[in-house]
Amino acid sequence: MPTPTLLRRAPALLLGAALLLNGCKNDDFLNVESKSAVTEVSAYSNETNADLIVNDIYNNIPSSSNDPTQTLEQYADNSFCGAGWETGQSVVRAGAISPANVPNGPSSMWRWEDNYSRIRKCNLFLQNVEKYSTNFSASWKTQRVGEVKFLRALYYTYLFTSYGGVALIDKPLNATTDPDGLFVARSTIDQTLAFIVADCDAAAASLPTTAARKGDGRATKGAALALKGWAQLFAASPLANTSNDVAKWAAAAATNKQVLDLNIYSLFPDLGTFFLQENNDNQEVIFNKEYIAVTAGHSKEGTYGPVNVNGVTQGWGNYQPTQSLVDDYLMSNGLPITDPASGYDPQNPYANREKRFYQSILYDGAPWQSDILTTRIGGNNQIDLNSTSDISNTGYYGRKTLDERIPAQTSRALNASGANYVIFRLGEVLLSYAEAQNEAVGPGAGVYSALNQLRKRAGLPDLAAGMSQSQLRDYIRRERRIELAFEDKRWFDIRRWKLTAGSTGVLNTPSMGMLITPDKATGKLTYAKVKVFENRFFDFQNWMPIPQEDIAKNTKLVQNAGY
Amino acid sequence: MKKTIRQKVPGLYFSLSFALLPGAAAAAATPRAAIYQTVPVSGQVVDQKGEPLPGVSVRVKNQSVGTVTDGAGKYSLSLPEGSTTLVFSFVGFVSQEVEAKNGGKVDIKLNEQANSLEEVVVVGFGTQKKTSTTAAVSTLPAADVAQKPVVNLTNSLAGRVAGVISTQGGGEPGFDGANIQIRGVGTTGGTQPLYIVDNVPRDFSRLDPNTIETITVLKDAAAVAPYGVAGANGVVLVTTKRGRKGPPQLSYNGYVGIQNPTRLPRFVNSYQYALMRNATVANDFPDDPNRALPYSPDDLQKFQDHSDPDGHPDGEPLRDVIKKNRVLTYHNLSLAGGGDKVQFFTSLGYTHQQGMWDPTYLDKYNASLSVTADATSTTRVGLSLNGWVEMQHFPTFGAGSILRQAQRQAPTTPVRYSNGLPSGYIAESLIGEIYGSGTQVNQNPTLQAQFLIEQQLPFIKGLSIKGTASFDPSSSFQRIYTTPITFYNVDTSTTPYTYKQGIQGNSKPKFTEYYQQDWAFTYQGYLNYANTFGKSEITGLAVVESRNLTHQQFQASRVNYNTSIDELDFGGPGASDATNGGSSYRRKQLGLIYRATYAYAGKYLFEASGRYDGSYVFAPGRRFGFFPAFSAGWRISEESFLKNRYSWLDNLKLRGSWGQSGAFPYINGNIADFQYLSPYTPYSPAGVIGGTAVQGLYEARQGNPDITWERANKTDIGLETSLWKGLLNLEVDFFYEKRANVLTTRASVLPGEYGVGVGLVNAGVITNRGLDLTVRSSRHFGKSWNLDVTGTFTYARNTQVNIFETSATYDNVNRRIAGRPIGTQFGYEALGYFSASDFTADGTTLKAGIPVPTFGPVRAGDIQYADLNGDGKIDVNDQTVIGKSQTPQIIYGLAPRLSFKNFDLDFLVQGTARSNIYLNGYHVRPFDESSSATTLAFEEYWTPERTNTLYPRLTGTPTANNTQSSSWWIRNNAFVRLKSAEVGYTFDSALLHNALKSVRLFVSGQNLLTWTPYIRETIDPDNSSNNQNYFQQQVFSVGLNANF
Repeated sequence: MPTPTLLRRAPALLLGAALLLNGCKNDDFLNVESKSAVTEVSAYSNETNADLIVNDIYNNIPSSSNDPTQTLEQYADNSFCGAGWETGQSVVRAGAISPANVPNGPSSMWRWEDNYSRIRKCNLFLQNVEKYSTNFSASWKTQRVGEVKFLRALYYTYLFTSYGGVALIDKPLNATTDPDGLFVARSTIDQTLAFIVADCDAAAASLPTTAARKGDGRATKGAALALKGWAQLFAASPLANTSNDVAKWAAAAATNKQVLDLNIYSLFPDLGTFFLQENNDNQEVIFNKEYIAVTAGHSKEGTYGPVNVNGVTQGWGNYQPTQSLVDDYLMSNGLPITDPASGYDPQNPYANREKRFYQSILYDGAPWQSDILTTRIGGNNQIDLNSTSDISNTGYYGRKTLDERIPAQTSRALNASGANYVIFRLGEVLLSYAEAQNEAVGPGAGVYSALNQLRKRAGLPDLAAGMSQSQLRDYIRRERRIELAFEDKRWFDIRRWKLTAGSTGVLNTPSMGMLITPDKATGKLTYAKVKVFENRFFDFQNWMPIPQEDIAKNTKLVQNAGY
Repeated sequence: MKKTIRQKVPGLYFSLSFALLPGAAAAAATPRAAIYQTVPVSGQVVDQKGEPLPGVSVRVKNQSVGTVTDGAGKYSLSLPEGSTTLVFSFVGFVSQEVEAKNGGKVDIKLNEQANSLEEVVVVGFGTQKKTSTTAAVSTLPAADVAQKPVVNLTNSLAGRVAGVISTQGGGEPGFDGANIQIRGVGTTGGTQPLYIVDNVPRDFSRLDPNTIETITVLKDAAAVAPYGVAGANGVVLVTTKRGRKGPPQLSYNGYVGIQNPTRLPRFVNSYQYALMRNATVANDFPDDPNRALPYSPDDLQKFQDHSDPDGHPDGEPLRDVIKKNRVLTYHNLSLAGGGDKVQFFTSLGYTHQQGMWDPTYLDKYNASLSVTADATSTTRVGLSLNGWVEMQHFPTFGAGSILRQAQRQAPTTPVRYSNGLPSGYIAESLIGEIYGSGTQVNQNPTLQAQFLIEQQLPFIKGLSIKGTASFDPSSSFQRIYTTPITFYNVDTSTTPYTYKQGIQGNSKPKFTEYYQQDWAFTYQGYLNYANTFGKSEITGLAVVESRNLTHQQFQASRVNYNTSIDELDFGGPGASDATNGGSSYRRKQLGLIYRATYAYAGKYLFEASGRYDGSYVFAPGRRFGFFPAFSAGWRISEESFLKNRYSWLDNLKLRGSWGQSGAFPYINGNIADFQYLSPYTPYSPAGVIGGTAVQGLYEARQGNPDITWERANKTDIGLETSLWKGLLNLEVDFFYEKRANVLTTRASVLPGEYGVGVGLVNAGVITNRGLDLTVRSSRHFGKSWNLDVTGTFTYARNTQVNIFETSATYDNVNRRIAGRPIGTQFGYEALGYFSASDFTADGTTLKAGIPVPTFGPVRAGDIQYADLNGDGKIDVNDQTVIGKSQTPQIIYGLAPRLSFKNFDLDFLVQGTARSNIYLNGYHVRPFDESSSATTLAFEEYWTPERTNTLYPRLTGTPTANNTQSSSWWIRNNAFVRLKSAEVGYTFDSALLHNALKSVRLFVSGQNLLTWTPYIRETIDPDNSSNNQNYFQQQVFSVGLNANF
């Protein structure tokens, strides 16, 4: 009979099964090596590995150059954007900035969570470089800690200049070991500035004056001071300095002066070629994000360049200068077009303008890539007043920072541009110094000297002496717009100066373009300014709202007023 | 053996599989000397109509001797001495036992039995008699798969199998698989079921339909527990054909069909486009009444009269690029047969499928071979190979971007100019992306190989062991040759017009080769026991299964080709012209499976099954889990108080099951392994430092060392009944699943300042309940009419019981996610349009008391939303539930089948309910991203005179207010589809002068009609919100089945 056989064997089978199950407790035979990761110990085991971590922190620096869809100029009044889905139009200019709809800037420049992720990388490095300090030489450590503190200050500055006072976190949060420390409240504007200044000071103290290798892309003492000077300038400006504390202007002036006094930077002679690849790391550059064409390049020419060139569609035309920017360029005699003596002819508006106009703006009749761009009615880039295409809605394209030698389609296909993205240059520091000094002390030789250096490069005569503080303030603001156009500075400036909202607000009055109509018989052109978009912006929107989801997750965060 | 077992487990399968081969030898050596005297017996089996029945199993009672009838219903075998009874059994027929004491000729007639009591169903690691199954299992008849013009087999299940929720997102050749969810969605993690082919986890989507023996869907815990940590989402079991005894049978099956999109939206012509564009001006610049319109009366005239085809074109890009009547053809030749000792099945298949445009097409070659042999009287050896090569051809632009551009391009730009030159629209050339962008060829060969050996162990009656070794190599080789796209823009300022050439993309070609190789090894050792003691039937099964997978891939790329030779070697010479990359991974799993059944008197059925399962996915010490299931059945109809008392009651069975099953962590549809580690991940280039591109290293994740599998507790109550001799068959199951330890991310509750991603944690709880139902009725009318109707119905609704969510949503009852089904859509509740009377005299300021939207300025004709929290403004706090998931909660099918003499008719009507689709994209948003507009939008945009419209006022670009997620764009996605229809005529062999055994000609169609009663937009209900998935195809085909 089979049954007894089975029964006889059952205990043996059960025993076997039990042993088998027991064997599974030791499950090493299921070990599989993870191929996509290294451990923290190995990451910090030597300087070479830890350098890779610092590389990543540098690589997190946002830049407009490799954002495929938007430039920060579109948020401000320098450039319009024809595509309704682009944040500059659908959110910023529509008055629709809200906690559910926070414009984040190119490459998520000031996006809340992105910056805290960048900051965590810094905090983690600073913590682990101590934890594994025996693996590193003192000189390496001093240099890298200085760089990372600079980078942490940079990322906090993006937050500070967007939201005001923010949650100050200086060590990596850990949900497992410190669950109670996860939720940090916002600090005040002054505390946040102090944190940034402290990091910049620490960086400036430990970083070399000049880079170990020219143009290595690493932070130097000058970069740390320039960042500190910018953060202080922002903090001294009307938006953050509500009581107009003059000491804040004085502090900003002093720091920017420190940069000038390093005496290692000088103006690059030609602003027109400043941003070409061959002039990377020129004598004026204080800090930039580095690129190499194709390998680690960007496609600025493709995304920002003019649309129709030589009869065919090339670029996406994301630089669309507004009429107000065009109007702010001086005449070649140094006078603004509003001055009756300037010689400005509204029916020949592009004649005899200052050099920077031709270096920065592509207008009807401008040469580009062996073509003549025409935005007039019937032209090859006829003004697109109804956004039916990518063609400019204003009748202008940008030229500055773009390399004429790179065809736009090639640019997009290959990331063919290796021009660096300049974050701080001497020109800006001169302007920051002049502005802060004028506000702190008033007009003086130092202010004139700084401004005239830039005028000289632009081929303009020196400023007339004897301007009032207020006249000079207006001049500096205009000069800053022109000199730094298409360098992603205007958005911060119009907000810190509180120029955005109200009845004359640059983001609350219509964007204008230039409608150019040729006479059918004679071909004579008639110029008429034309409304491109009804902008809307509210004063409280000068500070960005903390995103809805982040307020929801950290209930200690208090929203900015007005939202 | 014992010694081996005591060793560590890794040795186990080796020892088992080693044991198998000597085992076979040992069995062969056991005395077989007692050769039986045999008596030959032969005959023919016919059905009630006298038609021969091929494939009927003919067995000698209580012996392992048996055969199968051939194509003419004939059989012959040898009766061992002492045996006198033959058992004839066939699926769908009443089994018969016949005395054949003296051999000779035994012809019998089998009676059809619609309720299929003798049916055998495939279950995990084995088969069971349908009547004694205590688990919830659905079977798809092979005939419903074999000749339908469906290339991807995942599309065969919708509406045919109760318990399967299936949606086909797109119809692109090679990428047209359906998303299958068994009993709906039980987790926020991965929901795809486990696919098993011949007992091994494998892809079944590309098998040749004519090599499929059965497709079975395992639904409840009793059915899926043997799959342990991988079974919680249900299992689709596929078995492929094996040889059978009988003379070689050669068959041809094939069809030729044409395909066209099921739904093709109509876009405006140039005249309509220009009128709409002109209409935007008044809305965008209301205080600028003298502003020039984009199109003059002269333009409008030329758009209408087509007098200036290049200056004022009139195209419809979407319809201009989609070709009509694209070919789909399939041919299969199979040969099956075998003698007493050796049986074989072999099949060759070829599929050719054209895409909507020429460069897209697919060629698939399938080959199968199965050989099984009785090596000894107790040893069976088999080898089966299923292999295919799929060659996919595409332009280098994906179908999504082509359909996007085709719906974006305004009719004022033709696809080609009148002289044939390709055009460009906003820096993209639609026709160039299809025909000028180069080619992508994917060569995907796959082999599924399995060797098996089965040994009866004569020293214990009913005991056998089986070992299988499966080796599944598959690879993908892709060649992507991207060429610069030449296009032209017309210059209308010259007379005659001139055409300027432009290049889209890099001016020189790029070539990429990508190679991926996957190897899967699966070893299984089975111990099987089945025996009967009096009224007790006992079966036992134990299996040890080990799996080991490796994956490797690398790619190389060159740019700047100076010649047009697509070889890697011939690319540009610069260092930066060449790039390459690669990665790999391994996976391991080990499981111990058991199943024991006990049946008393064929009435009381008990089963216990489960798996002790381990996977590398989890941390050491946390890798093994136990997944048990228990089930019971009661065949009430066998009880004496019912049996033979009610002639209308054929079968009544009540069954129930409870058990546990697991699910792996998934992220974006891929198994998320190593979530227990906190890794640093390298990448490059990480920007440029020191003048060179550098590598970066970053903290990729804070791991969760405690991570474990999801654990599903599944309960099922089922009722099966068959009444009036099969006139009504009903099978209904109610199910309830509570999925605990649902793997979810804590990121949604960690502060935004946390700064790094965290590993998945086992924290969610989700319940899922519903029912699935199959009703079948068969009826003969008169002598020659047969009607068979099958209906299926599935309802599944899940609830997120515990999930991570912030107080911002949890505390707002409208926005709370907990308690609602997965995929619930949130947004604003649209009230209608603002009217002029809502504004003060300036037309832009809302009157006091009207809640103000925070999405930018609004005017009359914009969508007004409900201020649910009453704070006077419309913001995120006013959001609420606006729709259900697009995955339907109800899916049903009705499949009538009618035959009359030689004619047969077969339909499948399939439908869904309780799902919502959210519409966005160009087909509902005129001029979005400079797009075109549909003719529906032309008829349905708001104007002050026409206010009861589907769409808001026209603006040059849709406003942020009108594109907010709101109920305005939600549609009830319920639909009914004539999924398939087939008419066939069979020429019998007499008619064919016996040249062929039989020939059947058929005409068939797939996706013939689709009825979406609640959607006015022309969109297939399975497409995506923006209608940019490759369109679903309607297929008409004619085909032939021939048996030689």
